[in-house]
Amino acid sequence: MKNRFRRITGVAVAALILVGLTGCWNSRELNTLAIVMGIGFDQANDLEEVEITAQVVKTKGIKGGKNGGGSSQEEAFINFTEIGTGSFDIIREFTHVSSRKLYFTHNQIIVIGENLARSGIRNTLDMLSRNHEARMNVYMLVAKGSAKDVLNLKPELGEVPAMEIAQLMEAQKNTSHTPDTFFYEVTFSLVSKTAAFVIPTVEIGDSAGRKVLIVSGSAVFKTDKMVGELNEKETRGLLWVTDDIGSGIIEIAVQGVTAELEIIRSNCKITPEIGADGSVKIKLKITEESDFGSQTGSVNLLTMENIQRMEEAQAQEIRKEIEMVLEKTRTLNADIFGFGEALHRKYPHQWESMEAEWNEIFKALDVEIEVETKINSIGRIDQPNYPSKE
Amino acid sequence: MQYYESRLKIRGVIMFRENLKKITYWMVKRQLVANDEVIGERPPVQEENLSGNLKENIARIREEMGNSADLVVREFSCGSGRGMPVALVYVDGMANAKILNESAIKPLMFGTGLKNDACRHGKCTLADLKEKLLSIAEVNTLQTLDSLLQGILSGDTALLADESREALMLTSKGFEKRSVTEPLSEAVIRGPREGFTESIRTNTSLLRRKIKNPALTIESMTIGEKTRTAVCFAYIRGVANEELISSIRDRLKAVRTDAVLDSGCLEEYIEDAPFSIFPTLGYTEKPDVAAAKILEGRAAILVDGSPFALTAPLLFIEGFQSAEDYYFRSYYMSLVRVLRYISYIITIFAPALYVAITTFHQELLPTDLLFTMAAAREGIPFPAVEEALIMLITFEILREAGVRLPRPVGQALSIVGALVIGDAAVSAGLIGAPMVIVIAITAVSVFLTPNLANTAAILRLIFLFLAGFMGGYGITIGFIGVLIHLGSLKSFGFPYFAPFAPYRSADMKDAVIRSPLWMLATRPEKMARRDRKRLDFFVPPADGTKNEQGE
Repeated sequence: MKNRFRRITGVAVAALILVGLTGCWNSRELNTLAIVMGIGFDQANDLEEVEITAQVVKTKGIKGGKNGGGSSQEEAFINFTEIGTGSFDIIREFTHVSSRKLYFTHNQIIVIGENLARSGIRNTLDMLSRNHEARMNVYMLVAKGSAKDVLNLKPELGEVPAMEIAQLMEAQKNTSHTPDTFFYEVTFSLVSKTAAFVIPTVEIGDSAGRKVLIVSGSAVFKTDKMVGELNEKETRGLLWVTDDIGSGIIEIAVQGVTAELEIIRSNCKITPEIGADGSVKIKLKITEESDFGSQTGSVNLLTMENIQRMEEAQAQEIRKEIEMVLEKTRTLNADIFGFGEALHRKYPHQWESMEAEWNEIFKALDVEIEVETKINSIGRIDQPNYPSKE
Repeated sequence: MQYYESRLKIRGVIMFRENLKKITYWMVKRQLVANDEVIGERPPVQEENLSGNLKENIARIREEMGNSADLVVREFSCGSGRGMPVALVYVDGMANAKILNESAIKPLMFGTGLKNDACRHGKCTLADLKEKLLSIAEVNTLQTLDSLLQGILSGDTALLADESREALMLTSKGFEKRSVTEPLSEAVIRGPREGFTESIRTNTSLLRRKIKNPALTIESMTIGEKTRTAVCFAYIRGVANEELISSIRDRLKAVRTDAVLDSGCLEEYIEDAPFSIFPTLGYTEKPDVAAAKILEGRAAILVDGSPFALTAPLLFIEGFQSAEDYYFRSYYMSLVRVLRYISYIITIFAPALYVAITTFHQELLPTDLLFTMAAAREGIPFPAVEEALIMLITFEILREAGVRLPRPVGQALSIVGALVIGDAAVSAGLIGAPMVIVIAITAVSVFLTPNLANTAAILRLIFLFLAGFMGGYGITIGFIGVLIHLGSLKSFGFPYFAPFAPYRSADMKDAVIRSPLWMLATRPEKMARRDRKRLDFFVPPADGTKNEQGE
């Protein structure tokens, strides 16, 4: 009896000790974390090397916490910069300057400097795609200039630049002048053989004498290198095709006055076709609905005929935007629309022979655009805000 | 193959329990056997009959009682003439002297009920007295000294006569007892306010008044070698399961202890899972709750001297039910019941989840919340798990102190407690503000399920340790363990976790929600086997003409 009891106690004690000795794997207290909000990649002066900027939040500086807040002098963030060859190595090197270990799960944005973007981003991003701590649903941006400067600019409204940029990206849905590209989308595109992709661009601009961040337009990437840029109109032309339109304003001229229409919803159907002679044709059918937003002049645009005219003008405008971007991408030779993927899905067998010469095919691709638009609502007043003529 | 593996696992569980039993046996044996000598062996009790001599019997009684000061022996002669020497023996304060004066001594001394010659000359028997003279409701005849002593110690009075080997036991209980008052532990807004008292007779009468049915059976026995406490258990014949009743009877008979001072003392001897942190016997202070449980097919165990009745079997869900659930309308009470389940989950998991998320899974927090929490944790000297532990222990100390202290002092204490654990600790930078909120919600939530509060306090600590060691993984393991344990528990043969596991759809009507009373048509499954139907179905109002089914 006594013997058995000893054995049981032994096992129990061993189990207890085992629980204690496992340590607390992966356990980290909140105040030992350096919460990274944004990460920037730049090309260092030495072309072989990368410069990484990590933006870390100073939780004491954030308002709301009882111990922090208040002092407006203190900035709520701190940027660490390190230069090296491998990005994983550089991130570990941050321990030399930061007392806390960088913590990436709350990262909001990845900013890539233009120089690095033009020389290729594949190798730099591998680490972020692989590491379990880094999230995939992170906004990607290309900085005109250096990413470091973008992350260094203290925003006027927010407290942390990276959060400010992330919020700016959220707001871009309202104009549809900027794509919102997530990190996972870039990762998918990087492993695709034909696809090109766009990443929104951010630059430091000037607004009423203050330095501000401007997010607009986009950078076109082919394979992993930036090859060109799209302006706002061209970007929206792209978004019509990729079905990423959120909202936005279309300006049209009808009957000698200007009308502004608000995009409510839009749908695009891409139908690739291979003709009998082997020629490839892409059919785009865009169905758009909008609300009448404002007008100039005293002409009442809200008559049946004028509404029809506006719908036609709107379709024309949309077609123009799409044609602009088509033209641009033909010169850049970058299939950012995913026409190749659509063709692959519909004609998997023919695609095999086409894949190798897709670049050539794309340049001469016949794209047929069909736009159907509709104006739904006219707003609160049904006359221009001029005195009635009668 | 899988079958054998599961059998092996079951064997493992049984072995674990057997080993626990052996360890406790070994620890108890160490107490009982000192220097190779078994202590506390009780000599067998031998039955001693009364002798035919009055003086001798009185002397024996005095001897047995150790000449106690409160023993009263009143000797007098019965009847006219020389009379018959008799003696009344009772314990002062236990017996009602007024009853004895009016209904025993007076008729015995001056009674004219006996007419025949034999009696007139003091030659009558106790049976004659019982039949003709004593105007007392309950009179029993007994032969042994032991039962006589037992009787007078319960407040009855013994009538001894010379030349008789028997004695009469006159019921004359008249000790001081607390009146029926509102129970403190189970306050209600609506519903009966009377509570059990310390007197077992009052308690059985309270039950009888709720259920005026001859099928309500009250079985009685005496438990406790020293205290000789009266214990009753009540059930409805034909509703309660016979196996349950015989099992309660057997377990009560098997109790070998010297003292039963409260029903709580009895609970630990008869419960199913002595090593479990979950109680498998319920308790209540309210006769209406006890009656409701009896009507569901359960049994109530009453202990003399305790205002708490035990109810058996106990199911897990009973911790989430309260008497008022059935006195208010069902919609609100269903909401309250759901709230009780939520609050029980909060009270067990909140500190553990907070620790797990802030030390292992920071990515689960929304970014802005992370900033707030990180800012609050800035400069806190303790790791989150220690912080939680300190706060939990402080809370348990305050709670315990508040419960035991007299009420005026308790109020002062709660102010100190609120200041200490609420404000001062935060402003001193010892404890983070979010932790205070977590502990506060934990502490408040526990009061929704008072019967499970003690269990929750232990579970909470276990989960906190697991969260501190292994984060969410640890909590998951612990939760699975608790579920397995709940699934394996039984209370008097009834699965503890029913109606969830085993799932019994018929009983779900009164589990998570409380259906309207007219929908509670059957008693709980398996509990009442023969008489399961509670009511004929009808949708109110029942006006006598339209209450046919389907109307």
